Amino acid sequence: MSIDDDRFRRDEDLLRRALHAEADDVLPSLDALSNIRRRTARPPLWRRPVVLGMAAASVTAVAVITASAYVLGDSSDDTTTTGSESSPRPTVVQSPSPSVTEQPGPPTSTETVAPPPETEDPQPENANVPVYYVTETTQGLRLAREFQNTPVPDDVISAAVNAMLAEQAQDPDYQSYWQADTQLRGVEVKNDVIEVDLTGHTDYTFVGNDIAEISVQQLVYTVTAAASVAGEDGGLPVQILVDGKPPRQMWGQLDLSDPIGRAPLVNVWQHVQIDNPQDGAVLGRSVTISGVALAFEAQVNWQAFDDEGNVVDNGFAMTTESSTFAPFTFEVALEPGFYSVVVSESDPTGGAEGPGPMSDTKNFSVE
Amino acid sequence: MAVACPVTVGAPAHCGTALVDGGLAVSTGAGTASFSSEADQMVTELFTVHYTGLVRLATLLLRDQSVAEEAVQDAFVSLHRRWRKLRDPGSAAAYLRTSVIHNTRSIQRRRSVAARHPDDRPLDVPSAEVGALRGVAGTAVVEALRRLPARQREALVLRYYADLSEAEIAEAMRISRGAVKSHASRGMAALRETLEQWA
Repeated sequence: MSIDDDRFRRDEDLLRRALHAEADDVLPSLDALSNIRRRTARPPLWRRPVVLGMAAASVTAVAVITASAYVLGDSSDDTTTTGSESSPRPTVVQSPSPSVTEQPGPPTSTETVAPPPETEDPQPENANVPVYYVTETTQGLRLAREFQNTPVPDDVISAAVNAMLAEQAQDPDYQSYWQADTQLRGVEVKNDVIEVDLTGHTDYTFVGNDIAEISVQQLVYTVTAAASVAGEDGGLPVQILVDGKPPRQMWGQLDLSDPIGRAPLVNVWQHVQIDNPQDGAVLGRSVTISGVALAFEAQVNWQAFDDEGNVVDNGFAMTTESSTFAPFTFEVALEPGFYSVVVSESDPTGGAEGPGPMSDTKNFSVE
Repeated sequence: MAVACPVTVGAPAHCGTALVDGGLAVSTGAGTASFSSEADQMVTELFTVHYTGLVRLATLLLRDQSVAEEAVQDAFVSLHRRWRKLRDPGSAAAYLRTSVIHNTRSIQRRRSVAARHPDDRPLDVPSAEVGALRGVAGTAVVEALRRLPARQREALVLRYYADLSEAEIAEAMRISRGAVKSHASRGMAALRETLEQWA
């Protein structure tokens, strides 16, 4: 054995002992388990003041789906491309969904290294389905979306709702108050309504109003977005059913006995939404960031941080239209490494007034 | 020196005991009525086996224990939410590790963003008596480790504290095994000078 090997072993041993000595001083706090239990308990105990700027009217039966030019009517909303560089795995998309065929999928898992490409595996048929989550912003809880690469055994709407109920968002800032043991019985697209039949855990009457309203909109947006992806009418309102019947109450004190339409985007969407890349993506050195923003004077600001938190690049990008939700895109060249990109709405008051700008962050690596 | 709890599945029995005490001391007050599903049970079991080790791991990476605990608790909460999909206690341990590493990265990022604003409080520094207790050599090595780039620090802590294999480290850091090797060897090279002084 060489002297170098000996020295290396000695260094290793010293480092090992130093780390263990340091770690042994750390004794976990006594309330750790109860903290975790409190946060995982059912029904959820979130208590927050009602801050959502969403009028009660937005969740009534009246279809407020006229909303914004950007979303409905044309299916550009949730059929925009996604994750074009994020994964080598091609996916098969069920018809009818003309605009989403052959999209590469977003990373499918956060708990393992990227799975090897399985280009020849014909099943299960996966598709990128739009799934909405909830995120905390400077203006309360808002909707955020992700495209989940998920099996589509039946129809796109069911797949999207199942993903919404059971799958955690890739983005750690996105969450859902729906519990995994709420299950989908079925979806039916009728002439004037889309019925979504749920079963299992369906009692969310304990949550506060802001969470109830945003969570119902989360379902409504997920269902209608998936409907337009599937070539159905995404402008239809959604009737929630529990075991086949309209529930009087399910979420907070909201009346769900009638169908509910999408609330106006401006009231429920986060102002900046990065669609591409998705969180956890592995990308080439030329990174294209794209999304949708409601931007003052059509401008959003962006910063790219390396994994030490240093700003490696920054700039601004223009959306295609001001004062409405409109797409933006920009490119940034990065060396291999881990990065996060923050895109924020520009603040006309310079931070002097108002709640402060909203932003969206994505973490990804460049190889 | 006490034997540290590995962060892997199948930790020695002693690793659970101190924790169970901690857990019990608390649960009497918290009540367990609504804590019955499979996910709840598994999270409790995994907590007993892994919590201390993960908090220690995160503290080595982050320095500040209370922030480290937050990162680890977040990992348990998201494990609970994903349980239906995961189901397997074996992969749960790996999930927790990956999730903790991910959370510490987010915290470090937020922290360094905050540190650029002069009004914010400075990063936590270890108190003088902690340093005295621990021995100068170990402290110097750990301090040098904390000045390394995050990936190098993670690779070294996962290898020499958590005793993970290269494949496990790659999974936890979500990088290739080759990248693990190069981060670890660059980290060791950077620490060499400090290590030489105390060898």
